[in-house]
Amino acid sequence: MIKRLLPLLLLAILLAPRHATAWNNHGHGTIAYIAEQNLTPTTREKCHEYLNHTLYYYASWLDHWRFTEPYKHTTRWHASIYNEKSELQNVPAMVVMMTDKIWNKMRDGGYKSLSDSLVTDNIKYLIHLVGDLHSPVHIVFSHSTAGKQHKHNQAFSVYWGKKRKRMSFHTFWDRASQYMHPKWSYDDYWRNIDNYSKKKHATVIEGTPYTWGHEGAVNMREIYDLMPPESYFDELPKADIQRMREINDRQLVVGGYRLAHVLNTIFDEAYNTSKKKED
Amino acid sequence: MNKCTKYILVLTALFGSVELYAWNDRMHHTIALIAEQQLEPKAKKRIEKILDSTLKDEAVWLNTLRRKPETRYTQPWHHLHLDENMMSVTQSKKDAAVQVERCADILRNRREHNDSTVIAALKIVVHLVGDMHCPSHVFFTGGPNLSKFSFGISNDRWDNPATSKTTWRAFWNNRYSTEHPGFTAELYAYDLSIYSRKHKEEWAKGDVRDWANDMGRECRWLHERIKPDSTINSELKCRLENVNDRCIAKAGLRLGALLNEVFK
Repeated sequence: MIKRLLPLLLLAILLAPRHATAWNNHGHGTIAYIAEQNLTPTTREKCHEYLNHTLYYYASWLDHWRFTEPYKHTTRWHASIYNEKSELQNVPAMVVMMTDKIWNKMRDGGYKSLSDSLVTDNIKYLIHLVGDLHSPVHIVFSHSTAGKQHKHNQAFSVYWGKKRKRMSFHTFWDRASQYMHPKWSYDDYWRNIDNYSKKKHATVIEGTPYTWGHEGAVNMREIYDLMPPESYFDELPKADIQRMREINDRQLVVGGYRLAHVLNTIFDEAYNTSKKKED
Repeated sequence: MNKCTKYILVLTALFGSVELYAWNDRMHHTIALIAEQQLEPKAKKRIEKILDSTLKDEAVWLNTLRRKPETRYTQPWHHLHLDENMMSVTQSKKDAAVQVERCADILRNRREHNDSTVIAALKIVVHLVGDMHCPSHVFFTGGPNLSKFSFGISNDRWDNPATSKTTWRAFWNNRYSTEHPGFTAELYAYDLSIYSRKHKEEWAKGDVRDWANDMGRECRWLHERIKPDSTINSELKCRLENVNDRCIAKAGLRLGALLNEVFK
């Protein structure tokens, strides 16, 4: 067993984000802000009671705290690894597993049996991890296919901006929320992209962190085709830039909807009842 | 380092530091917005009559005076001076506490003053209640020299350990504000209104001297943990955000309470 897991653990150490922090503060904040707008009043009140802050205040907290002693164990929680068949690799404590585990522990009234400080931490974990789950470059691939660099998204560079700033592909996508719409605040994002129909909204919040992660593994290969190594964002074909914007916007809004859904299922019984009726 | 870079660094050190000398604008705006949320209708109405603008619009007006040669004498107003017992030693120093008290008196007796004096007094109060709650503005008799106070922050990263240098001023004026780049003042004020809900009444109690004393206690606690030329770890850096938020929330609540009292 250990022999089988060892290569995957080594892969996790090599591939999981180190310097990079998934979405940057802005991307995480945008997802949490959209989620905040989609909480039911009951859930919002509960979350504020536990956090003493908004969801977006804590959007990036785990990126700051992961290097402190009490939260050192969370360092590897931020990404998930998939193989060429988009199958999740069995590496413990990655974002998909941790999100699912915390959600299951908290839902169906489970949070009531936990201490207040644990519930608070769990909410803060979910805020950050659901964001990471929707970061295009935190779906990490264990392979590169057809000459693409899926496996090494921190190892090749791309360029952005008037000064042709050089950065890793990973960093580019961490900052995507600011690069794709440079002047948009959280509120601008919310006003522009939180526009899914009721039906479409209901479809995207279906599933579990496992299915959401798999969806990312299937879909996020496209970003490597749109922006090859050493390419300059401003010189990419307009259609490709537009497609990258669509991917960025979709990940942010869907991440926000799903985070709100996760929290609503935990804290609002009426929300769960109405969902059951809809089903 | 080429010559041009050196000049830029020298110029930044000379002039850039001016911007680092207080809560940044966003923090002042946030404090003004929290205060606005606290205003009773009567106070709100009277303030609207005095100003053509909002408290937020005028929150950094006093900083513009400090930069003009003819009004540079206002510079010391932005600081709070405390003795070893954390009592304000301000009568001789014309610091933030004295100026807030002086301007609050003008606002109480506004009928005895001309319009421009009353407007200026209100703008000064709005700014200085903020400044006196900024840890980089609180000076102790015999305490560390804040203008030369620098320390390190260890990032504690297992993969790339490093220490970054900062100054006391830069840390308190900008550090936590930049950790939330997407926050507008409105979002920050809303967030801090949740944060301060439980303590609202307790923090707004007292008068300007009590608040100065309270800030003395906050800052004494900080100076016990952060010494000049020492290095703090990531955990303390993260925990200090709570102090930062508390100071901003207190400033906003107290500004609101003071304005309600003078305009009752």
